[in-house]
Amino acid sequence: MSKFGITANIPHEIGHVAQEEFGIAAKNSDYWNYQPAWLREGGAEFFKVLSYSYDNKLSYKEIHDLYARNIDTGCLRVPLSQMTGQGSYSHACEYTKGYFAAEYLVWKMASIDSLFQMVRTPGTDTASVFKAAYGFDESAFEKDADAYFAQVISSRT
Amino acid sequence: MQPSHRPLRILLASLLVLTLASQMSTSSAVNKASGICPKAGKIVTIKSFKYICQKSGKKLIWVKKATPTPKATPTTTPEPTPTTTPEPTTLPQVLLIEDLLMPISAKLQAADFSALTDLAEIHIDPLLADSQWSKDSVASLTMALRLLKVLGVTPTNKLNIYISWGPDYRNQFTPDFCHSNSGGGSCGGGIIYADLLWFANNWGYDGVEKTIVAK
Repeated sequence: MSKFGITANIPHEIGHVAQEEFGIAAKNSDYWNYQPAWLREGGAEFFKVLSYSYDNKLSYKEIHDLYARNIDTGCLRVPLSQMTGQGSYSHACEYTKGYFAAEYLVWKMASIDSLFQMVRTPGTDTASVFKAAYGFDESAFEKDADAYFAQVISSRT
Repeated sequence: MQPSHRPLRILLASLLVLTLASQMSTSSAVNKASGICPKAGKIVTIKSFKYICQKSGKKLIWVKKATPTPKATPTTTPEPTPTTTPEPTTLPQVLLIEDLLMPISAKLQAADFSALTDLAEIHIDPLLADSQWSKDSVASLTMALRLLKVLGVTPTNKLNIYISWGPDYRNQFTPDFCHSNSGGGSCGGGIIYADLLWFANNWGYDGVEKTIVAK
């Protein structure tokens, strides 16, 4: 985990650059006010994971499993619905659990681009922006993604 | 008058329809990879998992179907409730994402990345002159920038990336609001930092690089 943790730090920050640039391109520079913390950090983690996997010639499943093996199970007790603001959260779950929520979002939307859809969607509150971006309710998605995370933890090897 | 070929035409047309229907069924199953499916209610079985085509927002997508537990005894046992099949090692979502990534992989192979070096400048703390972590961090930037390009992003500002051992070096160059106690940050305007001492202190990593501070 150490090489992954250290060398993938800059790619995580580049993931935030992608978020920022998509927001700028959409003339939606206020996006950071509404994007849930789990999507902000989880999306950047997803970018980092992709970058690391391509750099090290790992399949997506291999990097997914590497990530899952090292995750703090304390995040099982921190629902995504608590990670919607701008702050930091218990066990840094907005990063780790956020990554799996982002993965679940990519699967559900069948598109990597979905990671940035909320950044591009204007609005004045998280729930309505999320609904406009994805077509389903944020709260329902977060419950489903919580369940997906539990499934990831229980199935890891 | 020529003899009628109508029955033969009907037979051929029917065979063609059946063949196409069969191919469409196969391609729908294959399409589970993209998540998009053709008709609500359609069910396919892939690797012993059943997927049902359901509406999600404005899209029709494949959703893994809960597998009912077989009924055990005929009379007094309560009706079992449907339950999700345990998945020992592989989550189908992960396999589907592998397929979603194929276009990105192809673009990473094909794109011209010669101009990427102009996008970023890296500044390294003198304390990290001999650091392998620092070298690995620098090496990680190339693929991250390639991925950025493949996603269609060109940074508005040139990226200035500070790799620091502790906050002193990075704080000289980053805005005040970015002087937080964290291992990394994107401060806007293309300013990024990574604080390797933070990682060594907070995540441990066997203390490998702690020897650097002793120099």
